[in-house]
Amino acid sequence: MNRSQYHAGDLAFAIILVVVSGFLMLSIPEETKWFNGLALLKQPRFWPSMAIAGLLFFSCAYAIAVWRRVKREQAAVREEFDEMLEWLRPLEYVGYFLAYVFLVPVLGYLFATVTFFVLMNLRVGYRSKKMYAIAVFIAVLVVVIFKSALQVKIGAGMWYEMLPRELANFFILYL
Amino acid sequence: MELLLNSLEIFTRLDVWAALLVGSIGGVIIGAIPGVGPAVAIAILLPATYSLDPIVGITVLIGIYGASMYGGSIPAILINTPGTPVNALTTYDGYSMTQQGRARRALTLAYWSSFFGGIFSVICLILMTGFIAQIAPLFGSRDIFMAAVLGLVLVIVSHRGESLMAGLLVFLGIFIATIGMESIRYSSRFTFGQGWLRSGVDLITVLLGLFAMSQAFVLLLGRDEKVDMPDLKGESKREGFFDLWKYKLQALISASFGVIMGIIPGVGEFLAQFFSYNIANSMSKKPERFGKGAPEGIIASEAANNAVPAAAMIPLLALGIPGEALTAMMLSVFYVHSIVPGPNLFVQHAEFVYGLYASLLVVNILIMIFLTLATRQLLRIIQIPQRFLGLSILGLSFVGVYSLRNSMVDCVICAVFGLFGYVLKRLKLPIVPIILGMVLGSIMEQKFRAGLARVDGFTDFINRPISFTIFCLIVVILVVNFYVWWRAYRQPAEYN
Repeated sequence: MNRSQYHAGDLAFAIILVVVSGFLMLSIPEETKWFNGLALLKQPRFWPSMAIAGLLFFSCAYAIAVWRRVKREQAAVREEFDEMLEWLRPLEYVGYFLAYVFLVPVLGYLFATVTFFVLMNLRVGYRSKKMYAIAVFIAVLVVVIFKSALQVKIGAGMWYEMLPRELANFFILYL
Repeated sequence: MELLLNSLEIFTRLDVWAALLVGSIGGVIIGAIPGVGPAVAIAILLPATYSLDPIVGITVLIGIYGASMYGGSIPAILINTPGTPVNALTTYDGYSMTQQGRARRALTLAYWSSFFGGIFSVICLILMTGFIAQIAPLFGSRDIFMAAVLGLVLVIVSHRGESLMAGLLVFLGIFIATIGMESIRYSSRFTFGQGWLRSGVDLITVLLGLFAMSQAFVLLLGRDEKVDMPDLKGESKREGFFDLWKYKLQALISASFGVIMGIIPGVGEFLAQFFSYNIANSMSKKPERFGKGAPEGIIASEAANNAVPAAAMIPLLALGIPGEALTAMMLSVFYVHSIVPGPNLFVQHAEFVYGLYASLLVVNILIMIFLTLATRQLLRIIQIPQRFLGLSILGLSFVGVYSLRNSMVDCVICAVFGLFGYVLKRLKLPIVPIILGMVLGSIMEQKFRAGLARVDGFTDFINRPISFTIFCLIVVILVVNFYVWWRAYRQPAEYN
């Protein structure tokens, strides 16, 4: 991946990385322990400090390299803000994802997954019955493969307990 | 040989056959869908394989790893879009052949080249096992530590033009791996007083965020594009095989490059196919055909790619050092089942190792059978709308991360890494160094601390023959790369 040209967002990203690395460097005394009488290399502080020192070194070097690109190409850095707004666009989908995570213990894996796939289908703009049918089919398939067949550990829905005992057991184990 | 024959007993098991089929067919399908890729699929499936028998779990994952490259050649050849990033070079000659009405020939050539590369590397793996089993026990903590350092150095220098960012991300990965309670003095590191950080940041959570969720965001925020499929009528399916036979020397050289690059940690498919393609070009009597439909171009790219997965298992099995992101993911499956890859693996779990080799051979055969029968049906899969893929990946990411501990916190961490991965993808920056930094960083710290018990200073780390040799290799790589960088800095025009 050879990318010697300036890309909108490079500068903002580089600055953020330098700030984060600097913050981590300053946090070392607070966030790690020093044991008196123990050699430097054996200190639990040694390894994270080494990682942060490397992080800070490379983030500063990267920031300098980006700044040189900006100057060389006389790039208009006002595009940085547009690009940073672009970085925030997935937040909407993060919200849907976390709502799905919240819904699973309430509705149960099967019903939460079908709801998620159908509503997401609606959100991304598919309107045909065929696409809804596919969304429901895929949602059910995912649950059958992972929960019913592979038995991955996903908790039961709250309302499963209200079902008759045998049915509740089936729902808890497989759906 | 006796062990190899004994290991064939695994083929009497139904679950192993199911894993072989799921790995090979699933991998081809995943590879054939542009925008998914094996990393996303393996990250999602990883927690599900924890409950399976180790040979079954690893077979599924390695099947997906190898098969996805076969599948990735289909969209690369037919619609000029590589199914997986490592099929990018196949587009040069593959798509040109499609435009010339030779799509079927290009596809069968890609399949046979991939098959040759895959089988060749498994045979190399089997032949090298005796040697590896003798060499691996010679590696002590300090040698493995130096080998892990070499892996990280190679990861950084192999990202030409982005080495600074690769270095930054490697150190970020090493840092992330240190978060939480350390295991010797039981002190907290970088938990910021948060109880949920005391157990550290789970590798799977980071993987799913960086690979799966970020890719879901990219697809969801993009547009669906209509794909026009070319006609597959015309030339015989056998033409591709004859082309491979005609250029067998190029195929052998390319597969050998794949094996060598697969063994070296941190290098992988990209450099293997780059070298193979250039050598095939220089060996060709008609180099002007390269990029315009040269069969040797497809052979070089596909044979080299597919030789890597089996070869990449060598450092993983022998030293416990993953060379790239996918084997790094597989490492966690070994640990879950208390099979610790490393020098003792060949002694303590020899049947498991040979079973894995046999599975690799069978996977390649199953893939070829599936592709011969189902290429036409696979063309429909390529046409799945991108945003629908995006929402499916987002839904599947949930299974991967939530099934770990049923934790909302893990899902939030995964989403944060998803956003970070999305930013990296928008800026066209690499992601893999973070994962290798995390995995190799934690191995390095573990081996470093284990080695400290027997050393007084840092120089004692390189006073063993193996560690000293690796250290010299690291110095040479750094000096050469610094020299290349310095020349580029002094003469940028010539460099560009």
